[in-house]
Amino acid sequence: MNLAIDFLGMSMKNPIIAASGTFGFGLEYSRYLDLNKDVGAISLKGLACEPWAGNSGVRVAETPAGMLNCIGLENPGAEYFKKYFLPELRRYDVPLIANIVGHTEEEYGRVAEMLSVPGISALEMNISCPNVKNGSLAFGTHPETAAEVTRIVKEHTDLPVMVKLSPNVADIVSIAKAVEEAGADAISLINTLMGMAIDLRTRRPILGNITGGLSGPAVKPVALRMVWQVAKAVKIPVCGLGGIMTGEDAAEFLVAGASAVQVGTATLASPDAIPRIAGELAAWGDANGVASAAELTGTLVTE
Amino acid sequence: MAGYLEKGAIRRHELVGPDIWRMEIELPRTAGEAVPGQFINIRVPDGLHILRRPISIAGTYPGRGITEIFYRVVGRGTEILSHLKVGDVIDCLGPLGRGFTIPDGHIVGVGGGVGIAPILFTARRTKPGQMTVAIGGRNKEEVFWKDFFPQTLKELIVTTDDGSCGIKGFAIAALPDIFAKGPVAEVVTCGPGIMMRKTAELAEAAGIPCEASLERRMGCGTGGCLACVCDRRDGKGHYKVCLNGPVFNTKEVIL
Repeated sequence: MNLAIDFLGMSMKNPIIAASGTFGFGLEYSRYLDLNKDVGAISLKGLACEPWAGNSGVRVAETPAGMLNCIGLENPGAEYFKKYFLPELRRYDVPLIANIVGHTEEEYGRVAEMLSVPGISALEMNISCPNVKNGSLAFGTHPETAAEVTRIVKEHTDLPVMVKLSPNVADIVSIAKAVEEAGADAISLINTLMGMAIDLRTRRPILGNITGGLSGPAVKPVALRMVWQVAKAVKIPVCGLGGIMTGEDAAEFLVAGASAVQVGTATLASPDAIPRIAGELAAWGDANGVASAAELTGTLVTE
Repeated sequence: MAGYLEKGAIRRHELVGPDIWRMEIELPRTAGEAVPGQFINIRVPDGLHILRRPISIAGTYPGRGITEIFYRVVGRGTEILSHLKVGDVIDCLGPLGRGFTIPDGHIVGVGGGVGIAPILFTARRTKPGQMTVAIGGRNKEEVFWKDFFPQTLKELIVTTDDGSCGIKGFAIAALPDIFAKGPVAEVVTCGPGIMMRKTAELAEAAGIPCEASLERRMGCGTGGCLACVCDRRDGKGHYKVCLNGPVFNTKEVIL
């Protein structure tokens, strides 16, 4: 099966994007896989216009078939990234997506402008992180605010813009339609589901931030459902993510309507997860007479 | 430092102390390169536990391709590990992280609990007579470790809270006497936070470099997720325990 796809103006060698926050700035993984051919694209660790310290205390907890995190978008800031990471990253033949975060609309606009530079192929707006107060998720839970911040980012960049949506909402479709209307070029979903874990011996929350974002196989059915609902409702391409651990998981997201997928938690479990999943996807396609990944998109049979 | 993804068979697996298991795994590349203070990240082989378990390396036998660990059963993941049998194959990633510096000269090791494992690895790599080790536990069952240390140590000091084995008291109580007897090139420590803090205070007061191996709940072990950070002492944010550590000079971090 031909894995290569065109997505968001990028020529990708396979439909798998390394999910933001699970792949660092990519260079850490150059020892475990070939960045030149194994990864469709990299969505870089979320960047703000200034450095963010992230949350204090315990930042990760394991839960059945999943995990909670409350990193809090720790990042060194866009300028530091451009100076110390981007030059080396550009030496690899892999499209880079800058994932952007902010506390205010103005900050989203500013960081979008700072990262609209040669070497970056697209922007992914994180308006869905459940672990940051004042910002991020606050924009992603209402159609009006999600649309407004999308509009502002679009005004500050010429790059294609993908908006990453939160599942922690009453009506995901209305938010997807609102950001499409505001000019988004693609939608990625889902970010993590807000959850918590308790240490019963101490009766304290395990996470320093009390709540965190759930990811991994536990969220996959929710993610598939939301990808299917959104892909039906919008005309722009959808990138599906949430608990993809195998090639067949990836195929299910494509069938549900995604044009590309992201893999995150699986990389935390094994740094070579993306090439393994890509290989499994190709093998599944070959075994089932599917010529290309692109032709799988939206082929769900409901009758 | 990047590790290797290696699947290896368990060659020895036994309960050696209260909830503490000793495991030898056939991991030739890890055994060939590991240095004391580094760890391996072990996948729980049930498909439901997503994150690997970071475990300090306690010894290597490169000739046989064996990597040795001691781990404590603390939750479901390590409990599942404890049920594995000799011959079972497990998925490991290692050796990971930065190990102890280990200069020439007299090395003093201070360990407590399962944190004794990297001190044991250090002791096994130092020259005869080069290292003094102080280990502590609550009672004699918890200091079973003493039987694993090489006979060639300069001195092995065992302490227990209840006095049931060795000297009654904490391992750190031995440090002033050790420091008074002669020059020390470096102190290495791993164990409960309060033990490492006190060890670092005493070493720094005596002008001796001190390295501590830190433990954190870890996500990936490879620097990608920023789950396992610790605070830098210079106030300039965080270090990643998995990548910049787990061993740090105690002047670099807030213990």
